[in-house]
Amino acid sequence: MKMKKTHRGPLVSLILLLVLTLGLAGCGGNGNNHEGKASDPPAKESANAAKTSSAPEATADPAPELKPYTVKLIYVGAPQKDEKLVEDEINKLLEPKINAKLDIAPIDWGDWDSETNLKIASREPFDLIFTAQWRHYVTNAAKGAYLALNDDGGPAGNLLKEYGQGILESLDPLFLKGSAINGVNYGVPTNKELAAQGGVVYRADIAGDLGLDMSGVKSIQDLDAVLKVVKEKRPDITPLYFKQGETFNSQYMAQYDTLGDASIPGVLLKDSQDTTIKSMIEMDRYKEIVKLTREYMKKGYINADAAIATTSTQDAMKAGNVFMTVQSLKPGKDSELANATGLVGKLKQIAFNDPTVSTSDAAGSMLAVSASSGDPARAMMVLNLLHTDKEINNLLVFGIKGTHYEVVSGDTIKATDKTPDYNTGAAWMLGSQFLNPVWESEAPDKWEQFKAFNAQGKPTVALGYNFDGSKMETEMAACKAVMDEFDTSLDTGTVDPDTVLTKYAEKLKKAGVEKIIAEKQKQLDDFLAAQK
Amino acid sequence: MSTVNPAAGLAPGRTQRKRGKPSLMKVLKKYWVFYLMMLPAIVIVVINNYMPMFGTVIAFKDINYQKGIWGSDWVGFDNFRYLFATDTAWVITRNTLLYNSAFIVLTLVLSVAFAIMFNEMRSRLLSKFHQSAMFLPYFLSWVVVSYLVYGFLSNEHGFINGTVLPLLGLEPVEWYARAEYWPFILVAVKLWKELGYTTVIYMAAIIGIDQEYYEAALIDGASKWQQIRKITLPLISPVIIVMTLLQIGRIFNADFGLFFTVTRNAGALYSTTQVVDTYVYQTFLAIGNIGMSSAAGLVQSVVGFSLIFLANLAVRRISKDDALF
Repeated sequence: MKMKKTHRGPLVSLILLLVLTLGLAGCGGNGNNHEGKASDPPAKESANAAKTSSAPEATADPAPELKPYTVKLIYVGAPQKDEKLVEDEINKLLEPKINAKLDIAPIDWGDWDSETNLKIASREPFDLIFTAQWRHYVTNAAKGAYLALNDDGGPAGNLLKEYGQGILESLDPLFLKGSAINGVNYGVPTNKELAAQGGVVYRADIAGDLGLDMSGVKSIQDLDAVLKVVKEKRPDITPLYFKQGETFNSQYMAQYDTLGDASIPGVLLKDSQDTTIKSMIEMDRYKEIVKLTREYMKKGYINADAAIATTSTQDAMKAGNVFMTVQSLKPGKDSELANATGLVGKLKQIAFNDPTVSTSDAAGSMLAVSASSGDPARAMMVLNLLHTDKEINNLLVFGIKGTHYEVVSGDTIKATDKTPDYNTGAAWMLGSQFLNPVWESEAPDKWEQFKAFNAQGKPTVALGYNFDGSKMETEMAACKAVMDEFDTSLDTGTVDPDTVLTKYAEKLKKAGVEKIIAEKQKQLDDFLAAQK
Repeated sequence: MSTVNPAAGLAPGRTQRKRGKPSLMKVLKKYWVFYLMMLPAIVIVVINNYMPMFGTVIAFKDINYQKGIWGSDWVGFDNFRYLFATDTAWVITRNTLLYNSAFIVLTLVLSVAFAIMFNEMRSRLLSKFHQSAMFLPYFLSWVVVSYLVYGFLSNEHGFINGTVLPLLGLEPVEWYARAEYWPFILVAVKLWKELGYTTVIYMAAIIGIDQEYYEAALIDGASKWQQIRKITLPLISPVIIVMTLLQIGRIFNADFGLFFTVTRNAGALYSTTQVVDTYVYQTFLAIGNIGMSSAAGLVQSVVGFSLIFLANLAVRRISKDDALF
């Protein structure tokens, strides 16, 4: 008996081991196979969905024909306490319409890049995701992370035409034209301000106390006199708060047009008709700006830790010891920011340039349909509702009427005790802002102002052109590494441009910046030729 | 002695090997209990370390999510190009290797020294207290450590710029913009955090040494210094070798937390603080290209594997018993 046992023991354990490893390898294999085929199911399903739903959609009573489906929406923001409650309310409206439920999944700014990149790379199923030209829209589209929305030959068909009629009707065509890549859209822009303008938002109450005359301030050069007084009289306050990407050199301030993803070198100026692409750091405007910034830093106007600061301009304002920040402006930005920072009535904005409409603005905030979506058709239906259905959009953005906000009159609302439990502040990412009410403290004609602002915006020469960098990834990665090394410290005035700029230029050159610019120029010239 | 030498457990196997290799079945038959005990660990290693190896193909593909991993196009070594496209490759390789070499050497010397000192302390209580105090930082996360460092080095309110330098009559230093100081700062921070851990390992080895060696040495009139050199060090050398070999295997893997969070990812410091891991992270974030990230991971693994192989070969040459394999 004992003999037998010792005989069988090792064999059993060996077999066990074999079975286990094989089983695991099998799992791995299956998983990989699945990856391989993963492109098919959504396409098929959507095709099925299209078959089953295209007809009923037209008759406006599609619900019974559609299988229940939960649409997962990922946007940028802090998770809200009452998310579940709001979801339930939204679902009450969604289910009769398209038999779908909505799963809201906000991710905070701090984790956004790493989490979304991982979600996309691991092909986690989700349906709608926020994207923007300044958040790797073009790169991700090129990698197949987002579905083409109006490509008749694409895997999901022409979703926009089939399920997005409401969007096509309500959205200014410039939005779709400006955010298309080679004529195909991979995201639906939020219907909001189309033009962009840079400037500053400052504490009007402090300016008043110090007797500052802000009417003469028209440019970053004019700020010197004002900030000097703030620095002298209020040593407890940071006169000008900078952080990475929020400086005089930000796109919206300096009016650079990066023609696609913002992290790729080679720019035009939005306020010029010149179509010669240049490296940003070779431009006179750039040199002037970094020099002035350095001067301001030396004079102590800018927070000394700007190069490594992680606090957003909004949170810095909220802390109460910041006098001024740079902002991408639109009508009522000051009161919008005041609401978010608890400084109602204390903020004012000054624009430093004229509004323009460029590719980056048209593609400045979008929702894309993920390639990992189980039912792209349904995702597009939800997107369509976010652009057209006032009730659903406002539920998603502001929460439940009477709980999270109260109606003052008509389209004006005010905060309640429960407002902090659900207040996304994400209206600019979700559908159409023109459906939203305005807060009591905001201008009641905010949306009229928006429309006027949009009409005022001057389209740039390269509107609608997005750089396709898929052939240049080595150079792009190399250049990005160099830019990471120098940009923030130069933009915030932490280092002396006189000594650093030459080195920066040299390194960029070695990283292949000229190759990228040449390719960009070629693509742009082709684009412009096709426009004529 | 036997408790010290981690290779001692293999002794029976070794004597058998000399007599000619026994068949696999015979080995299994004799030691099946041990293999059974190993099973859970093997399963974990297979899941965590072997299965992801399939992912290596990603390094040679132009990944398109809609085509999937197998369906994407092969691109040969294109994904590796960016690693060597600029002199950044040289900088990050140099930084990674130099920092890790410094860590390996300094950790070894200092922790053995501390272990011996703790062991010689008369008061057990004091020895334990010092040990624990030294061990404590090991349990802090790098994020916490990064804020501690920031507390010291912050431009305006930092302890050093605000208190120490004015006391000495020196000008404040913009620490987060001056790359030349960081090799020292990073090494100091790393040692402060991790020395306690390795010290404990060496202490355990020293405690395992039979006291009779020391008694005999005392009778022969050996001094403390002689005892350390002739008894302690030789007897813990197997542990030292194993620990060092293991670290050499990871010499191309930098401590991401240290280099990313403690430097607050300040671009101005990249020339002395950017290492392979942080560079790869940055590129992945910027371009979102998992092909490139996988390529970098593969290079790291291959280099690490070759290094540990070579180091082991060198150890084998010198002392066969101490080699890992």
